[in-house]
Amino acid sequence: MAGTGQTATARIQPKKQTLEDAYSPPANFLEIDVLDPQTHGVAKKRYTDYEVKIRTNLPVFKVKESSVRRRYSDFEWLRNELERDSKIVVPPLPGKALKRQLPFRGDDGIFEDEFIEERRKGLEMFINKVAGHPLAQNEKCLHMFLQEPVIDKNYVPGKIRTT
Amino acid sequence: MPSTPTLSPQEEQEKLLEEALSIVKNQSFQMKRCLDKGKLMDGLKHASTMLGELRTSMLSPKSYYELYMSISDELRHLELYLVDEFQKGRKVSDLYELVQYAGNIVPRLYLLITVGVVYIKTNELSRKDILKDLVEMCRGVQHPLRGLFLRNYLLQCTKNVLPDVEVESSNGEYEAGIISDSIDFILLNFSEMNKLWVRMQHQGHTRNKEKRERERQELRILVGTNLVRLSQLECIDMGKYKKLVLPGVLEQVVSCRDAIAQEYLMECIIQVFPDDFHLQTLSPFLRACAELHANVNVKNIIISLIDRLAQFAQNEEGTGIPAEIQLFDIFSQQIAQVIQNRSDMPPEDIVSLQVALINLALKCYPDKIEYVDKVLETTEDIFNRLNLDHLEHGSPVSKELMRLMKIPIDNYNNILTILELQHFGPLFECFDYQSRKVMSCYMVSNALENETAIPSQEQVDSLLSIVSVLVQDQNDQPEEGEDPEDFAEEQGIIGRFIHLLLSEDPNQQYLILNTARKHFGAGGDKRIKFTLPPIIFSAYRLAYRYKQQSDEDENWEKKCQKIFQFCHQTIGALIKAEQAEIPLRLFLQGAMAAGSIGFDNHETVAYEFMSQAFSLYEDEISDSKAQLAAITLIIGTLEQISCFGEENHEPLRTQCALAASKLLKKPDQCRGVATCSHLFWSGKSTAQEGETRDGKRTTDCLKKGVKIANQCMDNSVQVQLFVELLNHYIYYYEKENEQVNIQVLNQLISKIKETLPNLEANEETEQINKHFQNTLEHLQVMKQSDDNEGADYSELVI
Amino acid sequence: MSFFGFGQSAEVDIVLDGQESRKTAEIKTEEGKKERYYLYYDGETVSGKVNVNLKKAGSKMEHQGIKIEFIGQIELYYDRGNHHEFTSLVKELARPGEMSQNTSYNFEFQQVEKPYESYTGANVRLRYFLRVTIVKRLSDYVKEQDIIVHTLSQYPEMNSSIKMEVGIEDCLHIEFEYNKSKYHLKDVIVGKIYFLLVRIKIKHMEIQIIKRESTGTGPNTFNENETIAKYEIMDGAPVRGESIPIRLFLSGYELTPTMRDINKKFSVRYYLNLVLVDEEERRYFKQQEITVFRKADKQRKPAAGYQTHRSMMQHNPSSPPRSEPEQVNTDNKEDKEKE
Repeated sequence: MAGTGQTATARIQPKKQTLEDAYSPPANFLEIDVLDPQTHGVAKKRYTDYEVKIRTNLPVFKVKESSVRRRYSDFEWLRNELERDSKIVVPPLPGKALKRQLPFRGDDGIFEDEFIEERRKGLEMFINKVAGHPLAQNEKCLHMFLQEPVIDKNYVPGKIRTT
Repeated sequence: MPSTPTLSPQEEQEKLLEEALSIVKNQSFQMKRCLDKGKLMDGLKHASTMLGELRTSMLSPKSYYELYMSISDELRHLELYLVDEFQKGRKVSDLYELVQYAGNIVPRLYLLITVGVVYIKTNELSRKDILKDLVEMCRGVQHPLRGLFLRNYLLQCTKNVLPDVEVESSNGEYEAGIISDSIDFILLNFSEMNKLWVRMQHQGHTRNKEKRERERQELRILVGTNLVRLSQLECIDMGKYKKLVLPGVLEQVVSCRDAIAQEYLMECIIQVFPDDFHLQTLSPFLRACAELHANVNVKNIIISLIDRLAQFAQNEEGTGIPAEIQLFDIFSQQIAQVIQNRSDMPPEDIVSLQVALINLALKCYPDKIEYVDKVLETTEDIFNRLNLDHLEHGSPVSKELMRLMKIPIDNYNNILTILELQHFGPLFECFDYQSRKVMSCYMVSNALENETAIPSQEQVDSLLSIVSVLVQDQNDQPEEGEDPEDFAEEQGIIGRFIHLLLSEDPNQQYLILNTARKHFGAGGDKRIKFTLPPIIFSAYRLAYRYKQQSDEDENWEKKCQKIFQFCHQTIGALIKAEQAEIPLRLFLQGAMAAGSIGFDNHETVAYEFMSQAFSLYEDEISDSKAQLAAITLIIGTLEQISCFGEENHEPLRTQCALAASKLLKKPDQCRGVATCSHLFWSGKSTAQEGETRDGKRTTDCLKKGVKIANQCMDNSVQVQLFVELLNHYIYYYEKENEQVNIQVLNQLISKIKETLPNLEANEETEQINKHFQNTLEHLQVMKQSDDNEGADYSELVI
Repeated sequence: MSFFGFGQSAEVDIVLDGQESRKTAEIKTEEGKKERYYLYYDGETVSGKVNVNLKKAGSKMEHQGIKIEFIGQIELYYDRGNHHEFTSLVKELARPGEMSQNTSYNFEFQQVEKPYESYTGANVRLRYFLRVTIVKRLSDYVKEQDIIVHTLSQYPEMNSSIKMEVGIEDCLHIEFEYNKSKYHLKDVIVGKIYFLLVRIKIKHMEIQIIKRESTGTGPNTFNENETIAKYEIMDGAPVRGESIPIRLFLSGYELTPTMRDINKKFSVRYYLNLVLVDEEERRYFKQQEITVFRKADKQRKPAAGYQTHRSMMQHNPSSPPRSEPEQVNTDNKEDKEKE
């Protein structure tokens, strides 16, 4: 038993954590809300956009709190960019709801409140997954999507460097 | 499509908890069954499955707590079983190792703790090693909620097995550990728990911040238990507390920079450790207070500590505050430091701290007035620095300052002691008008309740300066006047208070009155009618005192003259304020006083006061009722005074008779002259020994009264007057005024009897009748009595 | 059992010397069934008796000779026909002739070299056995008797700790430390994970023991990975400066010693795989090979002191994350596809 006694409680001495480290807020704060859906335009040009609001303490993001408005197709653009240019497994977007876009529907199709709310949740989940990905975080497209007022689709893809 | 009913978050929680509890119930049942059959390994497997429920992230802290409680009950069963088996010698070798095979960390560590404690209780392996191992291995759970509960389980399980000895007791190959091992153990557990608790604040979405704060409050006891455990170790003496425990705890508390944690833990330290420890560690504790997060209500912490120590100091069994500990100075300095560090501390909180400090001073050092004064000085300095004055009544800071300043008042119950506080008065000036008024009333009422005499001119002066809001108009008083009733009540209190301005030494008393006169004299017309009369009364009393002590003071007569001058002037001030009735009475009172004191020149003074009363009567009193009342008083006064020579007395009484007969209404005239009759009977002048006894002029007055009564148109009034006159006549008849005979009485009685039945039956008639009947009854008694000196009622007809 | 056709038939029984006191050990069959055989070590003499019992009394058995072989062989499952014998020793027990009564033959393989450990894996088996053959005209009578061989190692002279700083640039830096690089089968892995930078939302961390069996050579190498152990060592998200202890008892798992390039046919290697899982179920891992050995009874104290080899983490954005050996792996596309 004596032998077991020693190994049963064997440990490597832990490094002492500084008090500063122990009580500092975690360095992984990242919170993205997709909210406030607004539907604009009429007929073929009708679309819904959402506020995409980010709060973070990650140094990779230039601005610690910012907010932009994005529509579904912007999310699609982001997804395609990430899919094309990185080795990231990009999570899926909420469905396109093609059925809802068929003519002669009795309801408002993709502009129904319920559907918009459902989609909002899906987009929020998607963008949080993507932005939390260590590799995606380096992609220029993500930063443009989250923090630039307007997405420049002719941008030069590349990586962001944290300095 | 069947829609699933959506559950409210509450219902959701209940459902989840219920599910978890049912698994716990099932698994624990199986665990026990296996244990009963001696199948330990299977029992452990069920225990592990049961513990798997604690891996959940779905439960709110409250529900998780319930689950935890239920599971730890079941683990208790396992522990008891194992201890029993081990003691019976049926050991399972390597059990401590075996439970570490569990793949999931949360169940593994719960089992490890359970088995570890069994080992400790049965002296397997080294207690020291196991304790160290358990507290270190728990680092694997970094999830705040799960980690907090796990470590709480560790604390609960090790409750009675922590080494609490100074010297290593076991001499075998295993170390049982000593007190310092326990301290290390708890301090490490504490710091890890505090870390998790603080980190919890950062879990989840920003929008749920407040909910998280609430939840953290619910969990605080888990962290606090560490401190409780420390406080339960008997071997922690003052030295260890000072050197190891407190610094270890404070380091974590200060460094965590989290308001919720700091506020709770500081309070916890105060509550769980004994007062004599606190006394010896005041400086480090208070220094830590100064370093706390800006959102921490540091005031409450310090107050809590002070309150405890103040109570401790008063505790009869306790030894009190050791002399070498400068309790007050330490608190005073550290509080100053706290205030300096916190530029954003609300002034009411600053004052609250001073309140605590003043309480401390009063409770621990009841004799040291200078400590109280020091607090007031500090407060004053702070107010000056912050440029605070005219604190709005009812504002938090004003309320708090009021609380501060009432404390010495209530405590000393002696405003003379308050006057010794150099900084009381100046601080008083920080209040606005309304608050000064409330505070002044409070002070004055305190003096009245305790009958505190103010025995010197200087004290009177400073006191009246402090409460000047009650004495004089103020620059900052509101435009609109206040409620007359309230004002009258307030001034009434002041009036009563003036009677407390009292020195044993008459000369001092004279100075006091002069000072009071100066203060109150500036009070304006509406105040002086309340405040000057008591001064005058007090002055008259002083004159009497001089008279009493005339043997000791050869100048007493001059002094009396001065007093009467003073009174004359003071009454004059009232007259200027368009008062008449009060000055009239005061003059009369003065005349009487002068008359009876009999100092040099007193007759002149008395005459002067009487004539002043007369001229007020003639010039200022116009209301008929007031006139009757006034002349009655004048007559009464004159009847009492015996110092006048005939040359003064005669015109005075004549004037009274004249004035009485000139009253506006017949009934008043009737009553006036009837009253006046007494001047000629029992009035006194120096012309003769004793009363005047002028029977003729006495009855003239009464006759005149009867004549006037006869002129009254109102039957009811007339009868009333007759009854009154009858009484006057009876009086004189019994005093043997020869001018009054039984026929007069019979006539009056018959006249009344004649008229009375004709009166309308009402309350007034009833009263008149009653008066008359009482009078007759008196006569009846007198008539039947044999022993009537002089008064012969034999011929009376009733 | 064997079929002799007409005529006499016999039963062969191999009795090993000292059987009563010899230790046994278990080994799995190809089907996963456990069997128990006598245990031998390298260099031990394998000796005993072969009893040939005739079934029909009074009838003779004709044979072309009787021999006993000691064979160590490697069987690759995908190459059934070809067994690679790395050891093959023969003793002749009887010359061709006739047997008319039950006969016993002593045999002895002196101080036989048994270089490898008996092993049953996913694609390969290494076994030792004795084979008695009665050579007949039509079909030989063959009787095999398996034994198990355990290879013992002295406590290694050098057994430095494994200590390494790894991470994903700007996201996660950790330092892990395992107290040794070589563990015996009943050993305990003691270690710790120290967090230097945590910018991902970690949910939990586990340590896995992965067994990699490689068969074949060059382009025809087959790797078979098996996760022998999954052991959660952390629950929740740590912050910078946190040390998480590791203590993993190996005796709870079915391990074999590490085998490297056994007879150029196969290898069995063990890896400790540290896996961090984030809130989105992304996995970050780092594998580190450890050597597993079978401890001889007597052991020597390990060499004192740890050797640290710290490798710098490179940031080379253009290269895929797995190309740097010291980088923690994320479950990027390549890994996903493999899983």
